[in-house]
Amino acid sequence: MTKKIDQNVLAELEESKNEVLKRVSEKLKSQLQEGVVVCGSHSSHSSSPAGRTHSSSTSGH
Amino acid sequence: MTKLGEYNTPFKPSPGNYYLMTHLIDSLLVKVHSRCNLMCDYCYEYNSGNTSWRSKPKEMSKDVYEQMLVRVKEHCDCHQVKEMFFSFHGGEPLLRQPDWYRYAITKARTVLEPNTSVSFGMQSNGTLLTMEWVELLHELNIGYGISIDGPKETHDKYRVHSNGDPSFDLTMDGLRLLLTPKGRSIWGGVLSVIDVDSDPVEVFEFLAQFNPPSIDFLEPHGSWGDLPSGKTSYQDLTYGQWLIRLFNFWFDHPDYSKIPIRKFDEIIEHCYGGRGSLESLGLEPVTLVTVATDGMVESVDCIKAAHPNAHYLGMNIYENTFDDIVDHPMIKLRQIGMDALDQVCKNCEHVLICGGGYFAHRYDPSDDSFSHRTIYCEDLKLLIGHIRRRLGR
Repeated sequence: MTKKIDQNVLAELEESKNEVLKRVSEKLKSQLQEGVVVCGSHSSHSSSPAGRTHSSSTSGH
Repeated sequence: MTKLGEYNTPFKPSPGNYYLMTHLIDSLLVKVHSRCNLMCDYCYEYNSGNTSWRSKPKEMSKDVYEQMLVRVKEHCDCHQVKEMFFSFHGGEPLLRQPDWYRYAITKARTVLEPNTSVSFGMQSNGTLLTMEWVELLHELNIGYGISIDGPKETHDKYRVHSNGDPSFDLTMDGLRLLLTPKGRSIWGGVLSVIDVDSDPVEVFEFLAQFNPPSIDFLEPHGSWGDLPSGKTSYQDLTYGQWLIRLFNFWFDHPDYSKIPIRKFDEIIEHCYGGRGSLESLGLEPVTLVTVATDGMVESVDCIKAAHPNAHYLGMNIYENTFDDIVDHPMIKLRQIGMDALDQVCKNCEHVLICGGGYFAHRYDPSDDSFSHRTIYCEDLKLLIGHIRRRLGR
């Protein structure tokens, strides 16, 4: 597989009735519009950074 | 400038990638307090054999914080970084006094804006959250992530005070404050560490009843020399099976799938060619570093779960710029994508999605190196293969 967002597939996702696929399509669309490579956030964080998020983090940007 | 070869992690960067890599840091994990009021069994800070926290200042001083801002500004101005994110982390960040956050936010904005916009979040255990804190975080626009592992029995199994007392009731007191309008406005999400003895659907349904903005389920940390609880061998698929059961329930129930599960959303995004935003998946460069309370810089804090000195770069924000820091091999390893992976990963059909798995889980003490597959490789292959089949990708 290659890493490329397919416009036709994206259009299908946007029409999907599945909440997850619709949500992902929004992210993909914004990435296509931005056209830049951004990186990853810490996993220990849950407050949503714009870059690459720490996994131990979920708190937001 | 750090020289290759001074470190124990052997890797051969491809010159093309290595030298042309954009030097960029746009997220900092800021360790504002090095202590915690809990002592969770699986904690990478206090229960992984690393004792560096004992010799660190309890709190990051204003001097360290302001020097960090000097380095951040220097970096942002040099590389035209337009957005910077600070995640206040610990320990437990709510052990700091509220006034410190007023100072920290004001100072950061004064130093960095208008050239660079800066946003803030924190990850907390929830036990010290009060309505006064919620109002302050709302006023300062600091996002708040709470760590809770599930219903009482699951949560209290590992998330305890140092005397062994459970923390669930206190965490729930904090979580309920996030259900108020101001609480909702700051709530970024939930982090849950997976207990494979729990029922994934029960855990998810418990968390979903609060309608959090997002949930992530994290595998406990471990290495090739120290497999985590519930993983009896490298081939053991218990975590993968737990996650697949959760995925099927979530993906097939519209009322539930409206709540993002970060790990699943990210895998799906990668499956469709997206870049993802989480450091533990994908091959995209990681642009995050950790600054400890004494100003020392770590590649990523949880790497100390691999071995006690894994986080040590020998660099600090007084003597080093962020350009020095991104040149460090341990930082570079997380920015060079495929070149950091072993041949098995390079040949794997899922490599663009998993990216070799979380860096902190790749350490093998037999050669003192992170150039290995994650210990969760078989689980990830099972999960990603399942998701790809469900998506027809």
